[in-house]
Amino acid sequence: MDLSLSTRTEGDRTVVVVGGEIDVYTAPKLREQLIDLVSSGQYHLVVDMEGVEFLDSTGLGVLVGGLKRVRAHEGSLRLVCTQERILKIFRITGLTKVFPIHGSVEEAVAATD
Amino acid sequence: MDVLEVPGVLESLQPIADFVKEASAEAGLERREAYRLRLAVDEIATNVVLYGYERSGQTGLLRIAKNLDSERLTLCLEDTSPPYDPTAQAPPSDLSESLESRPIGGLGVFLTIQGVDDFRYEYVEGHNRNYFTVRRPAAV
Repeated sequence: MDLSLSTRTEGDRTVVVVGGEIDVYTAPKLREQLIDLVSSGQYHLVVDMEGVEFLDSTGLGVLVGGLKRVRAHEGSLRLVCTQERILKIFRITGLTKVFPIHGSVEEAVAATD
Repeated sequence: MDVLEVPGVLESLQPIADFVKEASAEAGLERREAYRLRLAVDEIATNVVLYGYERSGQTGLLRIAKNLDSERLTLCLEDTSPPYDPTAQAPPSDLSESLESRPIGGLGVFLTIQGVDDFRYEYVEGHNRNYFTVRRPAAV
């Protein structure tokens, strides 16, 4: 199970591009990445999930943890996702009410908090 | 392969996922249904490894078997960790609650039960057995 992560800066946002599978085996890598970003003062994050092939509840927990961390600094965490099977997981767990979910990175970066 | 038996450790989640993918392909499940089945099995297998074996200090096996008939695919995931009935777990707290007041726990079982057409649990002779059933496309 592989997870790929990369980050880049767009304006005052940090875009985290995630690819592969987010499960109990790989989620710690994503958790560390989010913690590192917040620790270095980057509180406005966009997580691009277009390359995510699998997401389980461990992955959801990591994203929720990341959101709580940036909110503690009055920051934001926006998701980019158009894959129906991933979106369904957010819908049935009620997390669409928690995360702003966008159709593209451009849209997420342009969104105001 | 109709049965796969692997150690009850996190590294075994990948071969289990591969087994589920193969079974789904053989059953002719559409991509979305195959994904939901894989997610359901992954959630329960993860619980077994983390809470059934590791937290209780036990070691054991995970065994997954498939049963395919003309109407449905049923997978049975079996382990020898302490008895745990996912269906007896309370549903996650109100999903409309705010993020700060809502625990994330419980979502895995919720995803499991939502993800398959039928989910059943039994404890027989020291074995937890979790049954995941999905209807095959031609039978829907």
